[in-house]
Amino acid sequence: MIDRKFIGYEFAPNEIRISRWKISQFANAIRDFNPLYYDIKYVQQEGYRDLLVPPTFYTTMTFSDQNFFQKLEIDFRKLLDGGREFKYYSQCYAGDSIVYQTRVDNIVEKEGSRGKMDVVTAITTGKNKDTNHNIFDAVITLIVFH
Amino acid sequence: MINNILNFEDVSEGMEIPTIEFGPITRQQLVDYASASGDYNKIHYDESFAKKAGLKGCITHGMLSMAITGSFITNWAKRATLKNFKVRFSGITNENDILTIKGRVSKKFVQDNEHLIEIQFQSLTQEKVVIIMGSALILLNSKSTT
Repeated sequence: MIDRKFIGYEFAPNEIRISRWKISQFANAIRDFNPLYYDIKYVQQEGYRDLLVPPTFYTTMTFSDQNFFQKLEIDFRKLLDGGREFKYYSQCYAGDSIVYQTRVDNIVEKEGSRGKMDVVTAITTGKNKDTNHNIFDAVITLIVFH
Repeated sequence: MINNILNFEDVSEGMEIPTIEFGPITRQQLVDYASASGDYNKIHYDESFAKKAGLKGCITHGMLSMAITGSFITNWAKRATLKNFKVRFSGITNENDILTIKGRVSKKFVQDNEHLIEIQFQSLTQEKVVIIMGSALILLNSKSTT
């Protein structure tokens, strides 16, 4: 059972500068060879100011604090990734710096075929460091069996 | 470049999105994805570790499977803006699996002058196991406003 005192808990924010190399590395790992992720001349011809990021790129920012699981005392052996959602508010380009912060949105108990479980929802909000515009929310649903 | 743009007028409710096949997902790709995403859980690239954890062998990162459905969307909805993208994980993708991603347009509407579509999709293994079900909300260009 995960302590309910963590509902609403905010982890320390983190920040990252999105490099062209990191975008291309990620795109290659998912074997998506769209030139928007690799070719600076191409993206500028298309009217963008720099390389774009693939839709799930923000998964690298799912937790602003690497100690998320330790803090909530989640045992990896009892953990299942229940689902993900990304909400996109504005475009992000290579060269942008993002400040992101994770909070525990909710923890509820459910019962399934494998017994009782805690369903933990955590939301990470990403903002452009310079303009403060919202870029994304990443919502993760974790299933932790008792 | 007009042929590369998906406009609101090109889409109708119920329309199927061209099915894609992806894979096989190799160990090399799992290693590449671990490195690009920072998810170094050994069940994705260390076979003896995965077997000790009770699996048949190495399994694909859930987020890599989601990323592949992301490419399915962005390679179809060219020059469109993704607003929301969510999935539920419903099965395991093993190393060397070949995935088939299918989807259709479930809704087409205009809201606050935005030309939007909702699509629903799923990803299946060669054994027809559904590993992901999801939906996306996409903003399209309209010929009437450009």
